[in-house]
Amino acid sequence: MPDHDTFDLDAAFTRLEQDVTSLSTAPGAGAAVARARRRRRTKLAEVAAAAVLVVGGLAVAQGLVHHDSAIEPSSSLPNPAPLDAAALSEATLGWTSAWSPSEGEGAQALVNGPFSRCLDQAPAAADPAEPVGGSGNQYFTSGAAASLAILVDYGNQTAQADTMWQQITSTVSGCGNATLSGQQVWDGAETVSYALSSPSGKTEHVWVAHTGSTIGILWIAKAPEPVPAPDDAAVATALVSALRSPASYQDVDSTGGSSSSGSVSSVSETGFARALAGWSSAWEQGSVNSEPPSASACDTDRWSSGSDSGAGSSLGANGDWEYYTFPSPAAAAGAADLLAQELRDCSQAAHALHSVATSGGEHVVVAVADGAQGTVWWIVQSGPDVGYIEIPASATPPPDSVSAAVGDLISRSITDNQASTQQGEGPAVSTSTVAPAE
Amino acid sequence: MGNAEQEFTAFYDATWSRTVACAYAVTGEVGAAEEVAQEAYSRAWPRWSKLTTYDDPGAWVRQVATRQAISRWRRGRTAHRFLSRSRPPEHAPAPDENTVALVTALRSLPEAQRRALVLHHLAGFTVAEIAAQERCPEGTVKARLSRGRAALVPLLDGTPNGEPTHA
Repeated sequence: MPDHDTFDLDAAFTRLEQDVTSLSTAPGAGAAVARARRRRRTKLAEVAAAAVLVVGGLAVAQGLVHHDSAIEPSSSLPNPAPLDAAALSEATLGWTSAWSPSEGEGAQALVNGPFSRCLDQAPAAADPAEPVGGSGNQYFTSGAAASLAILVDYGNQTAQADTMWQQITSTVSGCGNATLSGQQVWDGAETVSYALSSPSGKTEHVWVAHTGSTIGILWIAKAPEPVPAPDDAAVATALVSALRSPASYQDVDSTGGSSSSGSVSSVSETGFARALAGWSSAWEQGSVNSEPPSASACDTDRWSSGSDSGAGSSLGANGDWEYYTFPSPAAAAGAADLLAQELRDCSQAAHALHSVATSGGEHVVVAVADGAQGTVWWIVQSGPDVGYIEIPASATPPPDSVSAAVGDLISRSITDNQASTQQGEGPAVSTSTVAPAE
Repeated sequence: MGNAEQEFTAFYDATWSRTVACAYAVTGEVGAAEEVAQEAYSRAWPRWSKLTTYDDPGAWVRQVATRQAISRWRRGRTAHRFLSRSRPPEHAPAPDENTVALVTALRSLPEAQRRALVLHHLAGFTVAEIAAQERCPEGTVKARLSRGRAALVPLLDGTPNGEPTHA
């Protein structure tokens, strides 16, 4: 029996630290740095990855964009503002009709359009630097027109952003079908815009912006021709405003890196923000830069113990998204019920539960607890899968319309994961090897 | 190697043992604890310029590592997976029996109590800091610490030595 006659917990932990140190071999700071550099985006979707990876591999930054001496820097940078449908609509006023957020309708035209083909001319990436934050793919539609914006932040690697800016603009400038259509310079930011024509005569318009450690690309296809010069400048300004807004970014590291599986389909932060629209929630958008999100006050361990696999990630600054797969739909339903019971019985913060129908015909269980330790949970069980989102509670419970939208979001992520599993990607790691202690 | 990387290396070397110990106290597996700790440092590097402005950058890493460890423990699947993935089976020295007893006892506690004990006694956070992280009143943290310590006593066959030390 260990000698704990004089039980000093600090001393016990000190001994534990010494003991573990003697057993442990530190992989080294170099390995940690290398891992950080190697890490690929898992949250930013494939288009962003393709664009950044392709241009990241360019061997020589030729800097083909010359700052015309006639272009004077603007006096001050535009105010930070997210690039949402309203901002894009305002910027394109008089050129296009109003834009709406999109889940990717028309994306195919953008992905396979002349801008993407132009980037394809660049050599493959060898080991591009890794952004620490990104917007993900922001799609918008306006009638037949489609738009896609991607913003990335290289964190403390401002030089990497400078290089990337040079490489992107060099590549596009070098494409035979690209024409420089606009250029703006602020004190600390710059933008260029291009018109890229396709063999079929269609023209795509692309804006590239850079400020500090950030790079943004926005392109629009199937819009009326030509782009009025004031609109060209207004879109560039809106893109710089978005680059300067912290709300534009989610933490690539936390969303992809904290997930227990790199291939699991997660919940879009921008999609979640849209789902919460109209409700004053306590959820904070943006990256987990200073502190990781706090853990729930409730112990909800038992419900997932029978799962085959699971994955999760932070959602914004203080949210959590998790996803578990069970051996059968019945087991998943039982687990979802047990989770609801754990929340209902939570001694720290008892949750009130009710169910809301989603537009997809499923149900989302909403669990709300008030108070300092209160949280809001949305739980969806679909087939053998259970997914949930947890955020801190606010002064008012979420309206059912918000819960239905969040339920739809969770359902879509579950569906995406089921599809990727069927394609053999495997959403998560096995949970069967070690049973939770208790 | 640039200055930043040199500073980061020095920071890593100075804080590794405490970080891996925090993770180990939760997971009970050295391999998993190393993996969690290394992941925390991998996340720290892209933010290094910001972390250097903190009073104690090590606290950030320990918090990330502890949270990661708890999250993985919750899913109950980490230790063997990481051991099997990260390294071939090896006959590493066994932990000291006191360490085994402490970790075993910790793992029998409710998660909130275990989290509070590890964050306070090992990661070095004050009660106030833990309350801020956990979004709960300080009294709740003190109660968790008190109940956790009381629960450890019979498990470790000892007598607790008073109030929280870092508050």
